[in-house]
Amino acid sequence: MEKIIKTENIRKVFRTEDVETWALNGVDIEINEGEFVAIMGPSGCGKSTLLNILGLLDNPSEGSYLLNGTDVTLFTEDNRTTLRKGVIGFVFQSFNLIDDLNVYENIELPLLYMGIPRKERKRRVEDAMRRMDITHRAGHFPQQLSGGQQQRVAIARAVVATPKIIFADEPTGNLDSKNGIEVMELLKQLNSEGTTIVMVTHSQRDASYAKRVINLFDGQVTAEIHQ
Amino acid sequence: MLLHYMKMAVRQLLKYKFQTFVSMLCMGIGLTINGYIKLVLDAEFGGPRDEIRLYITDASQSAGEYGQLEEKRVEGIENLRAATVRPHQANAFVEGKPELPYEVNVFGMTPDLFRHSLSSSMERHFKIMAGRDSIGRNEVLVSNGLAKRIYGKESAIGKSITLVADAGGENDYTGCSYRIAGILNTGDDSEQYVYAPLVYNADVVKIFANIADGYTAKEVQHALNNAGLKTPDNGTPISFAVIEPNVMHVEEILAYIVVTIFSWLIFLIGFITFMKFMIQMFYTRQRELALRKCVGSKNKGLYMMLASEVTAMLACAFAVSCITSEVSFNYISYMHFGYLFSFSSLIVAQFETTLIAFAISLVVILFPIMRLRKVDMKGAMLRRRQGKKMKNAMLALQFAISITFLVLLGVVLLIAEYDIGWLPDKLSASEQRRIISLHTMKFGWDEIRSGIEKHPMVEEYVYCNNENRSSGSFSYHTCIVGNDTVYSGILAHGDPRYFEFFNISMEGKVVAPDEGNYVYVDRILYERLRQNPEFDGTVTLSFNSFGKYQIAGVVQEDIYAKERIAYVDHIGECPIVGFVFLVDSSYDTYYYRIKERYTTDEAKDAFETIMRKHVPESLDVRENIHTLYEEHMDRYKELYGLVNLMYMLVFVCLLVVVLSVYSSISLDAATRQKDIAIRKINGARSLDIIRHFIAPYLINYTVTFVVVYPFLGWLLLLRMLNGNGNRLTSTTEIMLYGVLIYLLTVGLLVLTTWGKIRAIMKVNPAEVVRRE
Repeated sequence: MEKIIKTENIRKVFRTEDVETWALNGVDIEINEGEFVAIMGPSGCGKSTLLNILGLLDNPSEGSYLLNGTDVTLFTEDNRTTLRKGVIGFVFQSFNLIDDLNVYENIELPLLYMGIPRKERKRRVEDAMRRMDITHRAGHFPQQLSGGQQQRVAIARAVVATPKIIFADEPTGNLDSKNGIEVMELLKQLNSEGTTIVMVTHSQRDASYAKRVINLFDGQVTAEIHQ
Repeated sequence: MLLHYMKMAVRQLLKYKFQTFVSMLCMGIGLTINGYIKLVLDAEFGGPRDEIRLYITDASQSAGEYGQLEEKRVEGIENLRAATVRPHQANAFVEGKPELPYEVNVFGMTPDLFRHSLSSSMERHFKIMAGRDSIGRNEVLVSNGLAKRIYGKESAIGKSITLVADAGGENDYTGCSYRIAGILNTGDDSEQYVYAPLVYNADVVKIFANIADGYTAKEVQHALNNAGLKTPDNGTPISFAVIEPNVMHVEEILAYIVVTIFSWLIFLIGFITFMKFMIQMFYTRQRELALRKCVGSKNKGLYMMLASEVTAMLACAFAVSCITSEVSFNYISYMHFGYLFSFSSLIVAQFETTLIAFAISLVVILFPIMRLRKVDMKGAMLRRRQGKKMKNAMLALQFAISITFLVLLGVVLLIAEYDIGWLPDKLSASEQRRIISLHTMKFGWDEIRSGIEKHPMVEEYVYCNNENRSSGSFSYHTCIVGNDTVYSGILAHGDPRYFEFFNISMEGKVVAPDEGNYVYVDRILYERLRQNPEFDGTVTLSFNSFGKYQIAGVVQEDIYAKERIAYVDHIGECPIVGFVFLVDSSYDTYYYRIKERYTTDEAKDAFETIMRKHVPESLDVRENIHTLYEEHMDRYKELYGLVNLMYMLVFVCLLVVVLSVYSSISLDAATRQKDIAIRKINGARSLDIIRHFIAPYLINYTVTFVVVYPFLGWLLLLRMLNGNGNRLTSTTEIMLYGVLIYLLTVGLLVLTTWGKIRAIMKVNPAEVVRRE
């Protein structure tokens, strides 16, 4: 299996006027293509920070990060965006849908920025909606949907561009157990189709879907468990 | 509860400090300009409705005829009063100082002329600033400028002056002593006026009166025509026309409406920025409003909260308008508008408009509150979209107003260019500043002239007479060759060195000024005259009793093309063909070119010193020393004033529009961080974000421009300007001007919002997601 993610001594510091907080303190991880990895740890241990760095939303303060064999540590914002397109998809705990756009438009968004022609966009969006079973909600706005439905839309948006990796930050955190299980099943299905999943979670149940669990504590990897 | 609402209002406004400041500034500017225009309109059109002007239709309208009318006491008219139309030039002398004459213009008036409002374009804005508004038998009113000049800070009331006719002539005021009864504020200190008791002579007068209660203008006219008045000289019956000057005619009503619309458009452009901010803020606070409803607030409470914010904002906007008025009032006074109204009346006018704005705002904020009653998610979403539509519509209206003002600026500039183009001058502004012109003076002119000519600062000089350089109006005469008669304009009479002095290319010989019977003609006239087989190099001019003149030279350039074209329109069948310059040795205007190493001020000082030796100290000599450039500016000062005013209005409009867009974008940036972050996470690059934020504004502007400009361009630039036959614009020019306006506004919008857009581009999505 090819290594799709490799970090070396990743450190991230947040500075305010008086305080300097090390959110990550020398993180070395390797993730293979097609893996399903869960990152676990208590609140404030740096899980989401690590996910943001891995997902190219943020830069590390120190260390190096190789994504798909490319060193992206010092990439500019625009370079990171270019690399993200079609390679990375995100699923957040709070869904992060755009309130002003309906379901169809929210899912279409990544394709729009990739410059895909309208016809092709329509095909892909309809396909993603069908897979997530939300076709009947295409014209609805996020606030008209239940939490589970919103998360399905978020997953549909994450997969519509057929990315290699999906980063999921507590994807079931805002959902009841039934909806939570449905979402995890969807992620599992995506993984079985070849998509790499990196998921941050508090939940042992969700982590049980992953093939490997990385434990983080005080910004450092404390354990790696293969399941 | 009210305190809570006010506290919330202040807190809310402070939350978006910049946008609040912009909204208040735009509103304040709108209020100020609206106040000014409203007061100017009131001053111009707000005369008493019962005042009438009486015109004697088939006689000379002399003071003598007026005297008869006064004696007759015609039924239906009251407050009959009159003033002479033209002044007598005179010198005023102060008691005990016979060696110090003050040049004055003496008007005759009936005792109570200024006791009632006047529709005369000249005296209507004069106000009594000290003493009485009426005069007795040996009393006069003097202008403030004259009172200051003679008495300085000392009060002129009760002082005596003696009037002596100017230039050795005689008039009815010569030798009479008068006591100053009152001071008139004429709005311009250079005006040296004396209003003395009307003498019942042949002077032409303007007659004012009021219609008595229960009478109509028609009845008054009938009564006047049946009063049996006869002319004093040959006893023919006098008939009258009664005009109601303050009853507006169709053109005046239209002008009034158009200017009023403009004043409200200016206000509207500021008010829209204000309301846009209020509504935008309201739609970004749906969560807060919903929470308030959850904890028990009724719609009335929410309305009160919004009303408190509107009140706080408007109070601040009014304060801003007071400050801008305070700052601008001195400038307006300098432009001689100040005497039309007082500062306090300006503040009152602004306060009235603020109250209107307050009432409108209270109604407008009802709509979002009423819509809040439908509490469903889809409704909330649709409301938000409708909010955007409303914001876009408001913005489109602002754009449309700014485009209108830019087109109006174009109209004014075209008119100005057309009018100012009358100046037949090839000299640059800096060259014009180096030429000082003087007119013949009564005291010691030969000595003055000789002193100036010998002065080392003077490089060269030329004299002429009856010259149109500063007057801009041409007299015309016929040029006759054989049986061919054509019209020609008179350029000037004078010394033929005129052409060289003013850098006008001339082919021919420079004859001596006293050689007489020589003329110079321009090329176009010359070619026309040559077409006649009888042409022998001479021409007969109707000027000077059809004298015959030898053509000494031909002016090569068609420097009067515009004037010729204009005269074609003026005299139709007999168009002006060209211009002639008559050689003459009597002069009234003298031009002196100053050597380059001296400044104009130094030259003026030197000239003043020379003149001062020969002119009594009571007469102002500096006022008679002007550069060519100053004469030009003085002649067109109203047009330049209008151009400057339009520039100011356009500047204000663009400023408000740009600030409005900037404020909208910065509010978007502040309230749509999550939106930006999600878009970035999903692959939006910086360019996509820029497009997303600025494109709606540019599309809005483009659509508005495409809709509004062709209509305005056609209506104002093409139809109105070209309507009277003077072709000022073409379709291509209108299109080019449109492109210029479009690029200018778009450039301004992009430039001013660029900083904000860059800040939006740099939003770190990870940080926003973390905050969420």
